Amino acid sequence: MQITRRDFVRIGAGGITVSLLCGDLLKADPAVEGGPPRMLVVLQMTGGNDALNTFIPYTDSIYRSVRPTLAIADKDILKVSDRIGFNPALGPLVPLYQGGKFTFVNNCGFPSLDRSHFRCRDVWQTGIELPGPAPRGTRGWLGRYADLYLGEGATAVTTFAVDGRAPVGLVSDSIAGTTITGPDAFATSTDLVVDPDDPDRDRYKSALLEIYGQQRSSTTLELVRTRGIAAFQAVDLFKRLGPQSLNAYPTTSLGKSLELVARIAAAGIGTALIWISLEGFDTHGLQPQTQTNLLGDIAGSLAAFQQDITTRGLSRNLLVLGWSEFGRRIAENGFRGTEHGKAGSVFLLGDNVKGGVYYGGQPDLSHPDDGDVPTQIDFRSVYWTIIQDWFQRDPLPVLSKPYENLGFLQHASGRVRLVRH
Amino acid sequence: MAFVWNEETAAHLYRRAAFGGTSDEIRRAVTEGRDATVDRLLLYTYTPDDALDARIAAQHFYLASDGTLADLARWFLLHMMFTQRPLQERMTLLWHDHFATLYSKVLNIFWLKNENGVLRAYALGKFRDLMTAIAKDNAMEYFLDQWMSTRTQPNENFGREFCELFTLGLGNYVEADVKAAVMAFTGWSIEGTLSTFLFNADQHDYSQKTFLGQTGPWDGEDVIRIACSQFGHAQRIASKVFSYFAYDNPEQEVIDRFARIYLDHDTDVAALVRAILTSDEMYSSKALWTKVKSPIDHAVMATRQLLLHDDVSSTFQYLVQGGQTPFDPPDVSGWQGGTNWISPGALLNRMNLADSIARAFDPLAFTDGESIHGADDLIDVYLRKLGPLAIPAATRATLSSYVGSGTVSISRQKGLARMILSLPEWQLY
Repeated sequence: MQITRRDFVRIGAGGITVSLLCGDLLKADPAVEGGPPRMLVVLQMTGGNDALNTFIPYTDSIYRSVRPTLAIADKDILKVSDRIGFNPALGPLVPLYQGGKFTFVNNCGFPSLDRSHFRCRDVWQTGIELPGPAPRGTRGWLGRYADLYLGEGATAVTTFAVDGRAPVGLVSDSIAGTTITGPDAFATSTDLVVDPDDPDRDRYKSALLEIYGQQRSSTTLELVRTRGIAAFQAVDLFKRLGPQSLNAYPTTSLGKSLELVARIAAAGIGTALIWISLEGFDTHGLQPQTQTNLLGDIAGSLAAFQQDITTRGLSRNLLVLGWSEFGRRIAENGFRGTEHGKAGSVFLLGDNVKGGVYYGGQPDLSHPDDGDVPTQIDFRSVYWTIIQDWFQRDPLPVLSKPYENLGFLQHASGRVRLVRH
Repeated sequence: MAFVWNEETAAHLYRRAAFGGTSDEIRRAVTEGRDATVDRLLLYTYTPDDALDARIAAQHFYLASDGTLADLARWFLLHMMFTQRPLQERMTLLWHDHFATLYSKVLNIFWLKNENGVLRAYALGKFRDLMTAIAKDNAMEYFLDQWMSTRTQPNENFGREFCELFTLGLGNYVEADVKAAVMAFTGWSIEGTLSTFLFNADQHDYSQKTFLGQTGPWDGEDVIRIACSQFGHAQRIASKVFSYFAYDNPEQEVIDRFARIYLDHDTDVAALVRAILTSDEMYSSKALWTKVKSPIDHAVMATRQLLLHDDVSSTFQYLVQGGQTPFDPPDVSGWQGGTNWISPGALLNRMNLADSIARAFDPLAFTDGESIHGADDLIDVYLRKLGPLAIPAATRATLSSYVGSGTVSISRQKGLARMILSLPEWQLY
């Protein structure tokens, strides 16, 4: 195996000792002192969400003419502006949009968009237009951000993902991060289980922890060993999760994941970057039912999340960014589905969002790019805006060249508490 | 370093090609020699697998369309854990990843079981035949929406992944080739009542198409033939199979050498695998103990090497939490693999599966026939039978201190097995 940069993991707490499992890491954690950090929650809509049926350009006659079976009936569209309406499944987000906490950016893409799920996903996650899939070890845009601005003193939960794959977006040189495959993964396995009838339980745990404190000579073994230490650290930190929510989330994977995010935020364990992926947006056929379910899940879960973190007094610390690797073709494909397309839309939710209006303009359906929505906004402008206005950091070292600030976030008001410098 | 065939290299071959060997298997392999062992693994049809068939029959699995994913996953796992033809199952697992279909979309256990049967039947045959059989397979046709693709309303999902993932890879084709492949496959569909392939001639596009520079009235079998004759395709398959058995990120020269062997043998996977398993690279320091076990590797190898009589009931849940649910990878590109299997959450998960495995484990059967005169001998035997594993002196000292001196109780022997399964070293293979 080739050892790559991200395999070199630094664990902030230093050497591991037997006391780790019962030790109190938080008292030694400077991130907790002085208030909670600003967190970014990234929601990946895997498969290519059909943006045109999400934020609908309902006044454009082309929309209706090329989507005879997929166009949403005019009476059902939630008309939040005089030119764009929400998919009916997004009902719970309408008050958040009108209340100025939710917005979206249309026509996002990049010059070399090629309709490949995997390459486009890697481009969005790295912010780099590589010719093919990202080689193993390529850092993500948030990984580079973390290396520059969060690296020293990071813990196993500084970055956290609920994803079937370890997201490229979080790959960093300095932070191992914690990935779980579903919201219940840590819930059922939050400790090192040893047969309760084993009289050697404590002796066993001590020996195992001792072994994970012993250095290895190969880089791969060192990677395994340090991730093991991170696992023991995460076990300790996750014992401190905030209480369950008082309000009801949808009982979906996304609903449970977002409740976990709220509890992580409430725990104040120094988590700064969270990545959640939701599969199923690749709607080549029978799109309406699939997309309605997915968008309904997103809207219901986000509304519950926003209410929960507001109740917990944490809403000023959280920003949600939703994105998808591409939009879909303007015309439907004949089986109530859509093919891979080009530009799509991202959305944002949070107290600091300047919502109630949208960004990126109208999809230009009369000048299609080979049948697809043409790109008008480079998606890296979204990242630029977030790093500049949410994290209040210089985006240039992360993104290598300047992009436009799209203005969808309020500039800092009052004291902003950032994660370690 | 010159190649030496001994217990260590034989165990390496068995870990990579056969889900790990028992002491008896390694001893036999050392005696037979490398090439004879590789041939025996490859020519698996000469090895009867009656005990596996009987074991599976005795389970009375219900694997009709409305069966459960847990049962289907267990059905596949039992194959990997208890087969006498481990290389066939190794390759079935590779193709299961390469031709990923998702239960969460297909929702038909019968189709997914049939697809797994296709992968097993063609595991070491000609790739072109495997590709053709998979393109006609119900689960794949449904998963990538091929069944609905017609000449008037083509669906690009299958044709695009055929080019990008299954045969050529990005950079070896252009968008016009995708469109041509899509049209060539129009009319390939599903006969739902019988769950078989249906060629819907009325919906097939018979017109001239240009695919990868060749023009003709191509249908699906033509584009498969053309794609599978490309050197770029051969490089893709050679690189994938080589990485699976030997080491990740092979050198371009190595890829090209095995790609030529693959094409010279008309896409014969057995010829490719034989060349890899008998190459110097396979037994080099770049290969030995450099790959990360996937959750399936971990569970299957522990079951085989610890001589368990049955699978551990928590295995399926462990695989779900570890991110390797059989028949339900994250998407059509399969599992990410490599060091991504070692996230903190996944590692804890492995340590906890090791607890269930240790409870089911019989230390007396495991050490039967070994000469053990003290705790040190015992640790040596365990490390040898589960490796041979090389561990740091400090770790060896911790194991000794855990095991203690004098007679080692059964429960502490189980603890030793469990601890070895939790070592950083055992997560590699």
